[in-house]
Amino acid sequence: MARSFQVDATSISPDRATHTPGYHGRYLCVDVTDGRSRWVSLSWDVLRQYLGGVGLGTYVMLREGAVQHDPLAPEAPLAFVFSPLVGSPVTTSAKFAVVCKGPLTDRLNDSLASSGFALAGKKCGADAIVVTGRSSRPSILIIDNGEARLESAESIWGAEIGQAEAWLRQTYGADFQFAVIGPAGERCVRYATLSHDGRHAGRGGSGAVLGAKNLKAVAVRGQQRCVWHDATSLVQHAKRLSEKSFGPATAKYRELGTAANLLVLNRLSALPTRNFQDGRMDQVDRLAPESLGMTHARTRASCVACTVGCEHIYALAAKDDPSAPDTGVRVEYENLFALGPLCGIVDGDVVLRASQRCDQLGLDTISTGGTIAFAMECVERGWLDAPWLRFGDGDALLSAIECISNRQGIGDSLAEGSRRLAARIGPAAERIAPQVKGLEIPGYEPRAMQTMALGFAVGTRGADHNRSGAYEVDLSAQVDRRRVDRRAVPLAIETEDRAAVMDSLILCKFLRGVFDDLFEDGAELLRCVTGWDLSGAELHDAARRIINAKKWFNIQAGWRPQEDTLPDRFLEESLATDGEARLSRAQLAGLIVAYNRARGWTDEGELPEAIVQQWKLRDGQNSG
Amino acid sequence: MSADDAPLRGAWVPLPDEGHRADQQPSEATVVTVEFFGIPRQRTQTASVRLRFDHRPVEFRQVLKRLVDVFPAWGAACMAGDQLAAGLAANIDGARFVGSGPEWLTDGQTVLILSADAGG
Repeated sequence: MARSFQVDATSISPDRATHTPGYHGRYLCVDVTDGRSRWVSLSWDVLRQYLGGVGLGTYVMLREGAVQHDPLAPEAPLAFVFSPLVGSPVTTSAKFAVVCKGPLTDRLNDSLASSGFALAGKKCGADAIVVTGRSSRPSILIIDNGEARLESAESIWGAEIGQAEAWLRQTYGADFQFAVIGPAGERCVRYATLSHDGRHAGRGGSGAVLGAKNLKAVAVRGQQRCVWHDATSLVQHAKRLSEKSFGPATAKYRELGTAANLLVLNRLSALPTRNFQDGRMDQVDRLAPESLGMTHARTRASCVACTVGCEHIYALAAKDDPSAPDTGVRVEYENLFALGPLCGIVDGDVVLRASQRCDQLGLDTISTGGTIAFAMECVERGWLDAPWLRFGDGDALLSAIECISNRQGIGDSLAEGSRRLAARIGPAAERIAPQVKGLEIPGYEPRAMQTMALGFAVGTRGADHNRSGAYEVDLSAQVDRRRVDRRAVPLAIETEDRAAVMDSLILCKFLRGVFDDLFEDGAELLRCVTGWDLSGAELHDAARRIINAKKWFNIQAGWRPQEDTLPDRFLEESLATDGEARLSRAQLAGLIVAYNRARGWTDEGELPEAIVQQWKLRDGQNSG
Repeated sequence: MSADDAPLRGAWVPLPDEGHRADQQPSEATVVTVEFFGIPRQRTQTASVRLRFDHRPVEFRQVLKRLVDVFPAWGAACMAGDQLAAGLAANIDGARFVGSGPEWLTDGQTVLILSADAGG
C-alpha cells in the first residue's frame, strides 16, 4: 500500500510539506547585478507537464523571457534545473540540467552534468536556480540553503578548473558543491563548458553565459529534502533497475567506455575524419581503448549514485615514463573523435593531452575539435592565413586550444565557433563548416548514418546526438543507413521522445537498453515519487510537449525553416571511402517534411495554432 | 584462446588470416570472416577469425553456432536460443545489420559482431 515517507520532516517548511512529493514547487531567481533574489511558484500541473531537467528548464526559459535577449547580455537567464528523482535511490539520477539561450546557436540550449551538485542544489529548496544580471566584479554565487549571496572570485579569476575547484573546496568546505567555469568561460568562448567535479555540462556554451555574468562559480549547499510518496516501492524499483544495470546492456560502458565506438564507426566508414572529408582513418586503432590501455594506466570511476561506472580515466603519462606527473583524463568517444581523426590525428598522447587541456580550460571538446578541423581545412585550401595549423599536427592542435581559451590571435576567431568563422571567410567556407544551427556536428558521419542526419538537421539545439538518438536506428536492422527513406522518420522521432523523457526525469542515457518500456517504467518511478496516477502514455505526451516547447522557444527566438538542414558538403559530395554514402538535398528535404508532418507541424516546420493550444505553449510565457 | 589456436573439429577449420584465396577452396566450401568489436573483442581476445563451412550458402545462425564452438567461454553470452544475444549486433560486410529473419552468407563475406549499443 502506498504511504508517504518523509526523510527529514524538520527541514521542510510547512507550506511546502503539502506540495507534490519529489518537488519543492518553486524556483529561486537571483539577479547577480545587485544580489537580490525572488522565489517563483511552480504549480503541480506545470511540474507534471514538464517533469524536471530539460523539460522544466525549457518552461522556465520561456517564462523568464530568455527568447528576447542576447545569450551573453546581462538580462539573459541561465537555469540550473533538478528533477523529481534527484536524491532518490534510482541509479544515475544524481543529475542536473543547465538551460539557457545558447551563445553558439541563439536557440535553446540544454546540457547535463552529474553528481554532488545536483544533490546539494536540490536541497537548497528549489526545483531550479535561475541566474540573471551581471556582477560588477568577478564573483562566486553562493546559494546556502536557499539564501543567495555573492562573494569575490578575485582569488580564482583566471584559474583553470581543477585549481579553482580545489580552492573552492578548501575555502568553503566539503558541504558545498560547485559548478565552475574555466578561462574559456571567463573570456566568453562560445562553446565554453560549465564543470562540476570533472564532469561538464558541455555543449552549447553555458560556460560563456556564466562568464558574461562575471561569475566564476556557483556554490550550493542545503538541508531541505523532498518527501517521496511511496518510498518502499521506490526502493524496490530502484533495486531492480540497479540489478539490471549490471547486465549486458551496459557492459560496453563499464568495460571499455564510449571509446569503444571508435573502431566500429571506422569500420563502417562513419567516423568523421579531417573535417568530414572522409569516414575512415588509417591507424585509428592507436586511439582505441584496447590500445590506449596498453600504454597508459586506466582506472574506472562513476558519477555519484550510478551503478554503470562508464568513466574510463587514463593516466596522461605513458606507462614507461614514471618521472612524468600522473594526472588522469576522462576519455569518451566524442573527445577521441573530435580531437583525433577529425583533426587528422591518431597519436594517443596528443589526443589525451588535448582532452585534458579542454577539460581544464573549460572547452567543449566536440566544438573545439570541430572548429579547429574546419580551420585546418580552410588553411589547406588557402582561405585562412595560419600555415602552422595543419591536419595531423599535434603541436598545432594543442597550440590552437590554448589560443582559443586565451582568445589570442586566430584563437579569437576560432572562439566564435565554425559558423561565425565561416561567415567571415565567405560562402565557400560556409559549405564545409561542420555545424547545424551553429553547433558543431558530433562523431557520426551524416552521409553514412542518414537517420542521424535527419536528427542533426531538425535538432532544436543544433547538431546533436544526445537529444536525438537516431544513430541507434542506423546501427540496427530497421533501416539501410545509407539509403534512408521516410520509414525511418517515426523511428527517429521515437528516439527524440525517449531522450526528452530521460533528460527531464533526469536519467543517464546509458540506461536506455535497461528499461523494458521507458515510458511505462518511467511513469512507475514518477508514481512512486510523486503519487501521481501517471500512465506511460501521459509520460510520452510529456515528451511531445517538451519537444514542442523547445521548438516554440526557437520560433520565438527567430528560427527559420532553412536552419533545419545540413551544410552543403553533406548534400553535394559522397564519402571518399564509401561511394554509396550519399545524401541528396531532395532526400534530406523529404525526410524533414515527413518529420514535420509526423510532429503535426507545417511542412516548413512551423507550429500550427492548434498545436500551440494543444500543448498550452503560451501558458506562463514571460509572466515571471 | 584465439580462434587461430583452436583445434580442428569436424568439417571446419579456422583458417589463418594470411594466404587465403577463394580459388583454393573446394567448390562447395564457404569461408566467412568474423570481425569482433567492443565487448565481443574483449571477451574473445580476438580481432577476427575466418571460418570454413563445407557447404554453401551459410545461414547466419550457423556462423553463430560455430562461434560458440570456437569460443566456448564466450559462447553462452553470444547466443540466446538460436539468435544473437541481447546486447550484441551483427552486420554483414559493413553494409547491413542482421535482423530476426534468415540471413544467407556467401563465400568471402564478412560478419561484424559488436555491442548493440554502439552510440553514446
